[in-house]
Amino acid sequence: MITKEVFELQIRETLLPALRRWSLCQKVSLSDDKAVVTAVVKHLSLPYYTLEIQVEYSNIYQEPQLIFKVWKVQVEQDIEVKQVYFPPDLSRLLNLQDFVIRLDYLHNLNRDLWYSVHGCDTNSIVGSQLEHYLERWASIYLTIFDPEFSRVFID
Amino acid sequence: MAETYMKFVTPCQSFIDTSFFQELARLKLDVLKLDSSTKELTSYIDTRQIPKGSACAHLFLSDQSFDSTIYNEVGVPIRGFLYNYNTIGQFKEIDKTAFLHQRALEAFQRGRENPNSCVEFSVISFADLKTYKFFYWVCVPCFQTESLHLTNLASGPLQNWNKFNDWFENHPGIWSCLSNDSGELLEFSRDHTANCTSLVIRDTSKIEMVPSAFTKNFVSLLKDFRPELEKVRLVLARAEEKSSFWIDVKLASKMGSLSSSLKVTGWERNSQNKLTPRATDLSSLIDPLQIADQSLDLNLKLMKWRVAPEIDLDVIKKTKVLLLGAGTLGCYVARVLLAWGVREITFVDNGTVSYSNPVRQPLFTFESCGKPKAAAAAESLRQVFPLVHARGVELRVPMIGHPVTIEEKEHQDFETLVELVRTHDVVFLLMDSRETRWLPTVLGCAENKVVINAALGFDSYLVMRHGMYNTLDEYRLGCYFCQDVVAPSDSLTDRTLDQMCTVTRPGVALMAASQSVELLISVLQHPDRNTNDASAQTFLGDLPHQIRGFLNEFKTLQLRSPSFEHCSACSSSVVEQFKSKGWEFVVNALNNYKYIEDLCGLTDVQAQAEQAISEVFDEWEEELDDAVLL
Repeated sequence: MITKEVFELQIRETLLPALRRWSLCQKVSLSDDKAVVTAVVKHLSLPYYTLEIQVEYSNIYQEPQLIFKVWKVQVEQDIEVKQVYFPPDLSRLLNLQDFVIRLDYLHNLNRDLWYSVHGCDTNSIVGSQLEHYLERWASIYLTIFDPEFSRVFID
Repeated sequence: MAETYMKFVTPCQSFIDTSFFQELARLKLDVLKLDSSTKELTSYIDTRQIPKGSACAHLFLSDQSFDSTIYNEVGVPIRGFLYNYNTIGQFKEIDKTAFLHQRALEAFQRGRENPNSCVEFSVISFADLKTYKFFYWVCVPCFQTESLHLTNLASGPLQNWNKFNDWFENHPGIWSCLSNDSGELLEFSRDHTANCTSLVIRDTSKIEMVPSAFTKNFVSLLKDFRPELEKVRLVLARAEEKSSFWIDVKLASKMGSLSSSLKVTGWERNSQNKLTPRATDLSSLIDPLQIADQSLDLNLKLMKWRVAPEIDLDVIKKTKVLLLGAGTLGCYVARVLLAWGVREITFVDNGTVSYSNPVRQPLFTFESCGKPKAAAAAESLRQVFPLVHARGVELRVPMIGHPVTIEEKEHQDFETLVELVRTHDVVFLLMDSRETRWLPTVLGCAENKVVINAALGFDSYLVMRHGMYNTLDEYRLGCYFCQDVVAPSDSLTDRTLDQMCTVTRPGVALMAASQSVELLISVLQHPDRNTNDASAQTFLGDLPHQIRGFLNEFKTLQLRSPSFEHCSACSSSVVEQFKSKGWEFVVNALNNYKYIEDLCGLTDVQAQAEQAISEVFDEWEEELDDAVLL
């Protein structure tokens, strides 16, 4: 578990710089209250798909909460149309591993639907040491989108 | 180093958050309507947050972009303009080249006044609010005067990065500055160009040694301010020291070209690197219930765009409506109320859906047969529109002239009815007998509610609003019973089936139901609501007291009638007695309708009528006798 204060500190000092170094990341921003990171990420191999990723603090689990949407682009009558995509089999699009991913997150701002990565086992997966907590968390959870994500902490 | 023509990187890449489109949809529907004039936008470009996978900084647009008062400490502010078109045809047909050129010309002119203003963006858009699809195209005008040719003479990494970075840190909203021959940094302005040796630009590019196309804007302005300048050092300051650099540029002017004629780029390329518009389809993103909610509002709000801008939709949306009767009239009335955006509808009925009902009563199907009518109608209404607060209450409205048999149950029904009338704003009387309408009429007066009455004949109908009750002797409009000289009584016992059922041409109920709701809508639009002025008008037109329709002649009449001081339902003697005695009064009326006639004075009226008739007959007889004698 991680406290909200440490989470917000490590967002600025660790996660944001790491996302900026990620070659798939097209855009990254921090919310006005400095508590939510949003990133737009290219799909590893499929050019018509992008992923919108948000990391925020879960007050219930006292862990980082990872949610995401899949956007699909197609051209209709010379206009590039982007729309949210709910693939019939998410595992064919992402490296899901054993993560519990559900289409159950209703965003509190826009009231739109996001996939959420369940955070109940985070403590046992990430460990309890607060130092480098978000670095360890990101190295594990963001492999859903890029199996080699942890290289951003090495390169 | 050999001389080369300069290359530039797209200055920024737009990212439009879904909240931008949601706010655009709201503005379009509620504020802009058909207004397609230019709207100002605000955004920020954060040169410190450029990820590795991106070639340039981001232009991020969200719902906050519509509010220029919101200050974002991250990034350099950039002004933008929204051109939202009313049709997809207008959006597609706009001459994109001319549009971009015009925007560039305007940016150039503004830059001549203040060079910081030469950086701006525009968005053309069309919001298809029915499909929740938003068409748009972002342009960031980058211009270079036709006469100017930029040649790269030499370049290299920036040595004294801290000096420039500190200046920009201290001037967070400024895009460029000038360095004079003594090395001093000054804000870029026409006056400061005289001694300048370097043009320093906050660079949004991330490509090694290639500046963003914004550079062209600043260099063009510099050349415009100092036409004799032939060479300048450009300092491209980036967030990171190691990628910041300088370029010595030769500013060659082609003779004879107009200095204000511009070469322009700026339309954003799509993900396939093509110059085409984009669209974001949010239909699958939004909660279907929210779409239903907004879609219902959409059709209504469109009235405000052109046809009826004064209409107050909120008052309709917030009105709580009680429907007494969930039969043919009740079902149709509920559907029209729903279409008008009423969100709280309660049905009261004590019957069950019979096999003859579904074909005439549109909230029921074959599967509804046998179910309680009120609950089935409410459930059906929720299936039509899940966000409606529809409730069904199984209740027998106590009827005047129908003696009390199980007092505890009937008392409970009475209390429930009183509570229902109290907690709603409008009561519709849609039952199939006169005596059922009596108590709700009294209650409507006692609680000062708007009462709308619809009643059917075989090929005729009556729709009326009851006059607003007051104890003063002021003129007021009558109620359903004001024309009668007898109180209503049991009309159901010992009647044949055709006398008890509503035998009516099927279209009559639909006409009466829709007119009764439209009458309510007009009532709600009047500043006094249910005014006692029978010739009142609203911007929707007349606000009649009664509408009588005759299908045999396909004719509709507007009628008005004043309240009757001896009315069995709305006279002050009845209403005040009800207020004072409550259930005890009701029991008396149920057990004997003559009690009401005595109370309101109808017994005397009848006696006087009898007396008058008797006198007339006496006169006739006398005249007859005289005639015989003659």
